[in-house]
Amino acid sequence: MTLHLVFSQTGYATCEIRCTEKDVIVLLGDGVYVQDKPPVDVSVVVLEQDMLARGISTTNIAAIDYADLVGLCEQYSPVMSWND
Amino acid sequence: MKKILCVISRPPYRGSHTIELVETAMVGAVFDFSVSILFRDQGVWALASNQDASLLGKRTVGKVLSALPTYEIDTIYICKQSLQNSGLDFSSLILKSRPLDYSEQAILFSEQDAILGAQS
Repeated sequence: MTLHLVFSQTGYATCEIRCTEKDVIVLLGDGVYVQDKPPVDVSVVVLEQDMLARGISTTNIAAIDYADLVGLCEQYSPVMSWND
Repeated sequence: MKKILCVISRPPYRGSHTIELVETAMVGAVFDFSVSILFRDQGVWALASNQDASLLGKRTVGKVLSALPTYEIDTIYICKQSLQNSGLDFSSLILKSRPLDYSEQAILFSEQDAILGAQS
């Protein structure tokens, strides 16, 4: 089960077509600007700190904090970063 | 044996991303990791034949890639859709590669111990 760390909107577009239903997508960095409706089968969460830093307060995507992110990194393997 | 996948997603002459990843792959192979490489999106251009970056005063990426088999790195994958978008002729690519569609790539990721790609 792959954990996808998505750092940009371009990264989100290239990532979400390459996921399986057991994967998790984390939006962080500039990835928090993604407002698309998440793909049906894949869990998407957003890093709250990066969201608030950028002045984004409302989202229909579940927010997580750094402790949650650490937990996800422990739980899932491999971890894959998406910048483009 | 740990499985490592290097994902090359940027055009070959934009920064040092491609050469660095390829060199990382070679180091991994020297230390007995099981290394494979996936070319996707604009990264597929690294496999174009007849590159001559001396015209840019740079190292020719195609030449560096052609050394991969001597490191016993022969598991090369290419994104089917990216290949199609590029218009490159599969038979003219400088390395033998296996085309994968998106769902096959997802399965490939899940089989790895670590995945390396372009940072920031």
